[in-house]
Amino acid sequence: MIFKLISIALIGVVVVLLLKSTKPEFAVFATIVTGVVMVILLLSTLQDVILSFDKIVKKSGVDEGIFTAVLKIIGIGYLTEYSSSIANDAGCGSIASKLQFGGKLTIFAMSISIVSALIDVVTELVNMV
Amino acid sequence: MGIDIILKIAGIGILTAIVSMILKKSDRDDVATFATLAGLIVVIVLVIDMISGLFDTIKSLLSLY
Repeated sequence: MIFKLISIALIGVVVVLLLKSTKPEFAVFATIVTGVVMVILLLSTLQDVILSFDKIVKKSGVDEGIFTAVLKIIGIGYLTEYSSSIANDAGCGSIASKLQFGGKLTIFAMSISIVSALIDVVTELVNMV
Repeated sequence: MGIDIILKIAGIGILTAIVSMILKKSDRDDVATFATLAGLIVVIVLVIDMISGLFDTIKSLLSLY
């Protein structure tokens, strides 16, 4: 499994370097496609991890909404990192940093709901005492 | 799905490079730009189609929307 990943990555690097010399604009597309192929390869294992986490969360009795929010944050973090690294590869670092800034903002906006849920739980505990 | 798509893009890139070089040599620069544009558009369509597939799977996997 990991060997497949390594081989795809190496082939992608070779293709990108090849295209960079002849046609630079195709190199960006080659990096994007290599990224997509590698991620699609990993999606099945990611699915198993998420399913097992889901079971743990159900057993632990934590509110389901929090877990989906955490998954959303992971998704947003991954997608912004994916596209900002592609932008970095293509050479425009400023766009990459804007993207990361936007990702941080959306994550911060989402985490507010989690923090408020946490505070509700804590106040419940305090009132019980 | 795999390495073949990467190699396809490499092939298209090199092909457009060669075609535009030939056209430039036979001093038809405007046709050369059209050829490069055509190759670029083919690759763009391919990549957009893959990216939308990836984002859909990630959306459904991480229940993003």
